[in-house]
Amino acid sequence: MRRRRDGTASRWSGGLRLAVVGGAAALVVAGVTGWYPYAQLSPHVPAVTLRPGAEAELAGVRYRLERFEVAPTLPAKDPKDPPAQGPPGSLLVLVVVSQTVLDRSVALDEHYCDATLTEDDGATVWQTDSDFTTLAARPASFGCAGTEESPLRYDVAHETGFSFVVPAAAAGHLSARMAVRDGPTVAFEP
Amino acid sequence: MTAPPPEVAATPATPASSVPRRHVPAALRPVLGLLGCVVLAVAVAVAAPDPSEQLRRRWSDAGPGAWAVTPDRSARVTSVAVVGTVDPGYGDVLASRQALVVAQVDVAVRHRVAQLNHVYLRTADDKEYAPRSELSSAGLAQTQPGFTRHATLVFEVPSDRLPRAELVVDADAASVDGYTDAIRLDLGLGRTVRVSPETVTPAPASVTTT
Repeated sequence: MRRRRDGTASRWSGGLRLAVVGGAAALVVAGVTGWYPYAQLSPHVPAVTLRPGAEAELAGVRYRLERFEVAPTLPAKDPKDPPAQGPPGSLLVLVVVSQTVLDRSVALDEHYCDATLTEDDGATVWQTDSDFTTLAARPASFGCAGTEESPLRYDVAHETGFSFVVPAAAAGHLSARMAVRDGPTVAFEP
Repeated sequence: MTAPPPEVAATPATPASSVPRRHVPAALRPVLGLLGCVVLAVAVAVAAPDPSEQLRRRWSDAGPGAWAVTPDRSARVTSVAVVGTVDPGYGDVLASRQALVVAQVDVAVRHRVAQLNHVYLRTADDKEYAPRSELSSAGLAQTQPGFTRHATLVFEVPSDRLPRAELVVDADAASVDGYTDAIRLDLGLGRTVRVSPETVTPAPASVTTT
């Protein structure tokens, strides 16, 4: 304990010292708890880029790009319906990906993913369409985990379709990205 | 002539060492130190400015018919009618004792999909009115980049609150409200607003490429 020249103990030194140590400890704890989740984040950089017909095995799942279609219209699911089309001056994009889960440690009902479409520079991002392509002929699954009618199974190829609507001016510079939850990001190009 | 200052009897100085001091028990000193820190933290929290909505927005303003532009979207009001009756074209006709503001709006989206789920009319006395939901089919909805959504919004507002009202195309409502851009559009209603007796049918919403 600090003592004055006359030998008496400083009145507040004990409390101030504890306050300083406690404050520093609080700052360290707050800093670490903020920094650690940030450090765990990883950018969604594609592990691989697939073109139609190409495939890759990542984290126990084989991915294959079946189709990457860019067209003004897509055939309707029901041949009696008119083809699906977007607003004037737009194009429809359909990306069909086949997945085969090989690793039994992959939980089939939690194999979620999110797909986006970007221009080459990544400055513009489209999310999947739910307005104009619902009646188009496409795989029943809109996501990686499958559906009740078409569930995901081990060692069985499962097709998922991602559809987008983009302005025609963007048609020449498109690539799709599929980010799997707690898994890799795969890029697809036409 | 001024009187000489009265003499003040000098009092002998008391030695500092002889002044009696209150003794703070050693066991209480850490507690008092921590208490002081808590009081300081509370004082800082109370004195800090309230992070209200006004502080979290960078506003882009435009007059009637003009585009307000932000990095991710632009918006304009193309026409405004203040009426007492709106015929949606299906179901019941909406008649109101208040004023029905029928605004046609264009929103052009760039870079990122826009939900356009936080659009409201704000009066000069800072009251906010959401669009009538039964006319939502003619309203704004999720719009992808590169496209412009054209929509009609209908607000029911007391007519005396309408002068200098504006349309706000705010940042999309989300679980976390961050600092971002938003748009204020002058509806051009002026100081006095007359409610027209005519019936208006909102135009259906549409989407075009930008």
